[in-house]
Amino acid sequence: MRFELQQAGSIEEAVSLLSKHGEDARVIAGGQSLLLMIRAGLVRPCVLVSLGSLEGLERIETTSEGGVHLGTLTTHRQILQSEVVNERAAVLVQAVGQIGSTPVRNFGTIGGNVCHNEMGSDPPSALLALDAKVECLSIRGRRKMPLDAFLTGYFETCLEPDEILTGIEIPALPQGSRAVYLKHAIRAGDLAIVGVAALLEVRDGFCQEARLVLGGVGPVSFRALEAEKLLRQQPLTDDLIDAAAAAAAAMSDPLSDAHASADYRRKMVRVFVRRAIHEAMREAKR
Amino acid sequence: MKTMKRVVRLWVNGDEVEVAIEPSALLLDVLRDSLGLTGARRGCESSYCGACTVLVDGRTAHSCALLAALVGERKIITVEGLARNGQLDPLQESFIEYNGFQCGYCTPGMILAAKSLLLENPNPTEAEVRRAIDGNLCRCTGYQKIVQSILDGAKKYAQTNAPG
Repeated sequence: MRFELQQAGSIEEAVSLLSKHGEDARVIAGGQSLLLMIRAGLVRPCVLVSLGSLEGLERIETTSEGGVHLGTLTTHRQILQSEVVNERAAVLVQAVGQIGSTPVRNFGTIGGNVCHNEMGSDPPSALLALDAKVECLSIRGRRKMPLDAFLTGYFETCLEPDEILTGIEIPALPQGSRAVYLKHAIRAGDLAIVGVAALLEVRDGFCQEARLVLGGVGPVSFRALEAEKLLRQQPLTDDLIDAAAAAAAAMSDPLSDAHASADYRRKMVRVFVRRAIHEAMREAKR
Repeated sequence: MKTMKRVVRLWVNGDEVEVAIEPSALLLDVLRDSLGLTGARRGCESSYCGACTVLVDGRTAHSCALLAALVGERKIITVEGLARNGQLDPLQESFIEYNGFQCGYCTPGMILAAKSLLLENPNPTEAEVRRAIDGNLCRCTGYQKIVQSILDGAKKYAQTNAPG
């Protein structure tokens, strides 16, 4: 493990350092994933650009449209303790609370988590259910894109080598909707064998909006659009919920690994989607 | 690639220390090898087992997953920093009374995780205690005793009215 360390004094300095060093450089925030990746020899940067605790990037703010904005350096701990996030994006709190362990949540950041994009990681699924957007900055300018466009493959995003993810924007939930995140893992703190985020809006017994996100069962967390379609504008009967869960299982494309076979993961998608829908319905009735 | 050692200043157990380190030096290595504080144990070195736990500004940290050069002015506490004037911390007394260890390898991490919890929440439930040590593995499977030790430590702190 050998690299130079450069501490950026501002976000402008950080992007200029990245532009200078190109693919030899990586950004370090909490370092909870990156240092392990470097140690394992999976990433070999020559330069680490530290964002330290750059003023403003560690802030949780409300947006005028009823949403929340998370600075990229917001730690998981901050999210868990934030009243605003608990009120406006509770499903993210459910997901973040299941990351790793307390020390990891103390130092790990939401921006780092999303950029690491590990299969079975909890926050991306919750953020997809919330329709989150990510903001990126480089010396070439700013861009903003939906999270599902940002997540491109195993440990991969469309972040360019000279870009930094600076923040995550979470819009207000649809009126009256409820969202839940359920995780199946053998031990607490493991990556999800299957993670399911479900958001439902039900009016007069009919489903107005449904978002179902699957994690751990494909290269990235993704919306099970076919399954969602079955639910919209329909009364949520047990048969329909089961059909949606089966559709979600059919859309998943899991790997077999030491933790679970592909077949088992697919079966668990069906079980956990069903549970998540029922739980979101129960929440909505409160 | 050759990298240069740099002198960094750290605050460890109340003392300011200067150490010459590589940019890639982990806090764990600096504590153990440069400062001789071997209470921070080398375990999995992958941020799973918690044997290397220290406190950074009162919060639990896996010192194998932090670069020493990035700790800055934050206050580091290792298990060596708990005793005052030769007197063990009340939590340490509780671990002795309740046999909160068998082989002892996880003990510094367990005690520091407990300390961090009690600084924030002086009167935790058993569930909160178990959650607070979720980053610390005990392979002797002595969790029951560890949890009892921590709950007793909370009582001792309440009597002496100071976990700090």
